[in-house]
Amino acid sequence: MDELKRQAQAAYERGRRRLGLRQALLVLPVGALAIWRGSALEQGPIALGVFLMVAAFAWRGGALGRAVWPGLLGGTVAFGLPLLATAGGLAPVGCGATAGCLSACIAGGVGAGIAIGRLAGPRSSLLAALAIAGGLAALSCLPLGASALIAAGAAAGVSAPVTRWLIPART
Amino acid sequence: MTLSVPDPTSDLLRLADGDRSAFDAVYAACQPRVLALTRRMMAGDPECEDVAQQALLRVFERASEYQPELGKGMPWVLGIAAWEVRSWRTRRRRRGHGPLDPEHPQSQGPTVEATVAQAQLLAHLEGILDGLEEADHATLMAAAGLAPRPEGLAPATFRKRVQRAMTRLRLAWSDKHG
Repeated sequence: MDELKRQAQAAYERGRRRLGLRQALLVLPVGALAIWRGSALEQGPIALGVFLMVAAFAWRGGALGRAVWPGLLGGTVAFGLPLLATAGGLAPVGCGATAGCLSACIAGGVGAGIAIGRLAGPRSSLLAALAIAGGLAALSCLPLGASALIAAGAAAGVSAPVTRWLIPART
Repeated sequence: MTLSVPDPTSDLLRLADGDRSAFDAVYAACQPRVLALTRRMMAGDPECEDVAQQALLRVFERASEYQPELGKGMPWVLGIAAWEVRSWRTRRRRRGHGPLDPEHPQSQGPTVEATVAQAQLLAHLEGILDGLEEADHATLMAAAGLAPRPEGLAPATFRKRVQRAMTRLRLAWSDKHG
């Protein structure tokens, strides 16, 4: 392979890395909000994990790359609903398997699943989108209790493929 | 001759999606055209190869940003290359090598819009030429001095062929672009 072609390949990979970082930057406000409401020690590593996952998926491209936007949007829903429930006093921190906690996280999970199932096209990886959304959901559900997070994950895991089956995405 | 290179739009879309297997096809389609455009715009300047290389690297660095909404692939690629030539001109002027006469802004070369428009026009023209019949394509290339004239052809016959090829080119252009 000639030198220019090698340099062009390196330039392409540089562009991919930049794209990955740019998309991963969208995780930062959500992570910062979670850390502000929780603690850096608990939410920090999760936010970092989601940041790296988004950067890696976007860099890799293909089905993983196409899953980033649906995952981020679905994840924002899954993150936002339990957060609102906590702020409204419906789900206090550490409430575990109580009705308020579970319903807040299940609602978030169902919302995320519907968003992902609707937005992720047939050529996108549903699993990757769910992984991103799950990471973001963990930022607000984990402080409520592990059972709340599991409930959110189960709800998203069921509603995403069902939505995709019922209402196929346009792309 | 660079005009027979296939349109890279679909390969560029695959590359933008992260499909690395499309790299070779995009490179093969873009490299000669970027070089040809740079040569044309820089009129044989010794730095032409360097600028073409820089432009090609910029194209691949930005390949992930390409979307169908940006139009066909080649005009997009040539737009980046034209921009790179323009940047080179600006750098050169700043270094004090180029013409810089504040009294005559036109001596600073064409505007960015004109440069990009020229590149896109050339790309459209190349697309139309590629769609013509091979004989018309060869005649027009020979008339433009980009290919050798057919041997043993009387000048009057050649002129007639050029005239017919031009008519078909005009028709093809108006079919596509109105």
